[in-house]
Amino acid sequence: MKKRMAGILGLILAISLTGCGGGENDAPASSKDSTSQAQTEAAEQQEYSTDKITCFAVFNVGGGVDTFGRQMTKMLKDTGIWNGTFIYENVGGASGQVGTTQVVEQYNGSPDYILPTSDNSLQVAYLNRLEDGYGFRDLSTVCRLYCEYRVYCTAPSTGITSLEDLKERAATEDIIGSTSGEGGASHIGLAGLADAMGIDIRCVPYGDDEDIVATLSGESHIGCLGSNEAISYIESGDLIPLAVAAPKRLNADSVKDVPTCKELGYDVEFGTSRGFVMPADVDRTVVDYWAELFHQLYETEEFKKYVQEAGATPAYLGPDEFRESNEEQTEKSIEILEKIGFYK
Amino acid sequence: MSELLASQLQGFVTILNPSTLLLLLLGVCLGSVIGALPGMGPAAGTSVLLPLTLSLSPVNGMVMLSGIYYGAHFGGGITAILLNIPGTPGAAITAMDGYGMIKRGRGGAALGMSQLASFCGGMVSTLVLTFTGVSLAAYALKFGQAEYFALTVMGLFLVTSVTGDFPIKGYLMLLFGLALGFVGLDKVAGVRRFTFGNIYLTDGISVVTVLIGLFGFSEILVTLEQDAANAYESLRMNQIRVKDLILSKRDLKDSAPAILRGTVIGFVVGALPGAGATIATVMGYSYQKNKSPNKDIYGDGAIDGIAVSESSNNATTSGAMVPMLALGIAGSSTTAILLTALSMYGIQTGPQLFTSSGDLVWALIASIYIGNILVVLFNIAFIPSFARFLTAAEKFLVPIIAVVCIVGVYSLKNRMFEVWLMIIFALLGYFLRKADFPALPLVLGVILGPTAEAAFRKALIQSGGDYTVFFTRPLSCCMFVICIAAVVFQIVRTVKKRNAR
Repeated sequence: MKKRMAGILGLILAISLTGCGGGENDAPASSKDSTSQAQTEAAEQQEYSTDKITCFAVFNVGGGVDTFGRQMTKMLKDTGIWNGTFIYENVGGASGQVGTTQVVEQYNGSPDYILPTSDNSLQVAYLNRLEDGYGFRDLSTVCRLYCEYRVYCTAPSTGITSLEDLKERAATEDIIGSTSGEGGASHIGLAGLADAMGIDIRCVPYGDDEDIVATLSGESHIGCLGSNEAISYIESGDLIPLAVAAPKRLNADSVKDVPTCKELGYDVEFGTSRGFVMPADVDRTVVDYWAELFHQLYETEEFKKYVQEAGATPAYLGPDEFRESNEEQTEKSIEILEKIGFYK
Repeated sequence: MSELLASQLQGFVTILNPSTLLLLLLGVCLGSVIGALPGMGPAAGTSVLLPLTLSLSPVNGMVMLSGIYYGAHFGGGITAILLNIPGTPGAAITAMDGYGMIKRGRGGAALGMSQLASFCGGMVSTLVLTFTGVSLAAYALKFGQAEYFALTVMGLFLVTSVTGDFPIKGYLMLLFGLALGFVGLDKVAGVRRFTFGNIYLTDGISVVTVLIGLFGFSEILVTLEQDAANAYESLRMNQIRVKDLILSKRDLKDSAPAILRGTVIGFVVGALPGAGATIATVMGYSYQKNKSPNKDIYGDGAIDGIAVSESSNNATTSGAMVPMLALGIAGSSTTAILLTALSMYGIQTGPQLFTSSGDLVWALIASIYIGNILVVLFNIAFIPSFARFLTAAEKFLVPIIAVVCIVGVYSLKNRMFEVWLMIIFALLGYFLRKADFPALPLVLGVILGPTAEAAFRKALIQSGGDYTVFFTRPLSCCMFVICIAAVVFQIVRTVKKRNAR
């Protein structure tokens, strides 16, 4: 009986492991090398089209990147621009590196995956100087859709109502800034502001959402939130906006009177770009196909309304421009991180 | 107050229609089944169903998704009690007393209590959410990093309640769990630790993988050593019909205070973003240990142990709704998905949610009341059938459980690495059992360690390296004083006992 049970167990295990195995993920058959190569060859010969694609987020469900991807793909369908099927897949972990590694190492050349992304997740490997990390240089950039410029905020309980107040306070006490993580967008945003203002801000990497809690509670003197996040708290009076790190004032009603850093004499412009990428070595016609679809979405009223309500700034960039923008942003961020001694 | 009641009543009116009630029933039933399956959990269930619910109206979609969320906490205790395989981390503590009661032939009462305690925890905490939700959010904001560190230290101290008969072994396992918690990307500095170049280890060791390996899969290995035909003899000892789920007066008397304690602790801790159900359950369970009328069997078949762990487990779900609804902040991975769903519906989350989408919020809260009733009714019908199925399929339970564990763990992150890791922990669990080392402290170390370390370091960065921050902040100081007092009290009690002998 024991042997029989062991045998049954072994059989079940073997079946389960075989079914689960064959690669780290059950990728569609079309992503196998020969089929994807055939597809890219076909794409070269004729205009590319598809009716199914996997929207692969390198963050868990519920995160900013995942939400962005689901929103945009839903809008593509709701507006009738594309009527195919999106299959959603999430492989999160290690600031997006786990999923990105999977894409780079397993789905190279596959036109069956499109990744919603933010510039920070595309650059994190370079900013943190990860030896075996991957970023935008290992992927095909498709497009950027909008930019969420950063809003510097504080809680009413801090007594700070302007950047000048912050500067005065910095002369007599330690200023605490809340960030979502080391080398992240909020960290770079605060570091850039500190450098421009000539003050010290002690950045505490509270983590996602915890940085907002720290800002709301007044535990930190200043936070650097994305405009989408900041607006709801500003509208409710839970946060006071100090400045926006944008080239011009934002459109949303609650922040339209908030001055830019440049207006206040500080040359700081920083935001989080949101867009899409695909695996590297995907044929250019495939990339252009999706870039064009998202460009059509960009022109719709639904998209404009969505972006306006989110307090973001529409900022379409095509494949090459998005790559260049990432290169520039990476250089700029590394410069700021070097100044604050991040690489010691 | 009258305005609040009127809003809540309107919420009931909104959901009292056939389609919404049907979707609510579907959500809680799915949730209960998902919670019972090892590895699945409410986060996995809600993320899979999210795209489907987006075609529904916002009220219907949110009602269904949140039904899955709290329904899963009802279901987690079922497999924990029947098979000693916790479906969720919060049910790991239920498994101790629950499975103990199965071995004593009181499985029906154990299952009945798990449903009653979950129901009471869910209902009472939802009442508190209704009347104090928004103002409680302000309390959640008072918890800074020093307070989080103090809370997790309290949780670690309270692990004494689950160390079993050999505290030293329990503490060793706790330390091992803490060490495992170091593996992966450092949450503060982003440095990789003990990953040995493996990208998957960069993501850390998942507590669910550890849980299923140590409890679920290792159970299979232990069973294979025994006569497999009688491996689940304890199940056959228990008649589990609907009437067996009804509790005696004595059981109700023993458990009523435990349910109340668990509910209060669960709701209060659940309202803290990121605190998690496990800390609440450990705290409640440990507190109850000192008050238990069943001290001699606490940890091995005490009905009030099930009462406190299940009530605190369920109370955390309504608690986690406080920061979610009042501040737009995710208190857990599942509430992060619920927030995503809200934004997909075009609803701006944040402090204005009650004002701008009050109808939806009150309908959601109303659905929790009705959902709690529906899930209990469903489980009362489902549990006897499930128990009968397990008894009938006893000879095949081992391979069935093996497959469920493997699929559940694989579904966590869609990779085989987690399955291999689970098997390693299963082997570890097997040897731990042989050597009488309790496995639960290891799991608690994996859960609490990373949180404690990150909170400690963030508090020190914030204070500029000043260690006194943990004692100059009132809440943090109070919690540390309680910890120190508990340790001193324990030492004094032990010395007195020895002297008395």
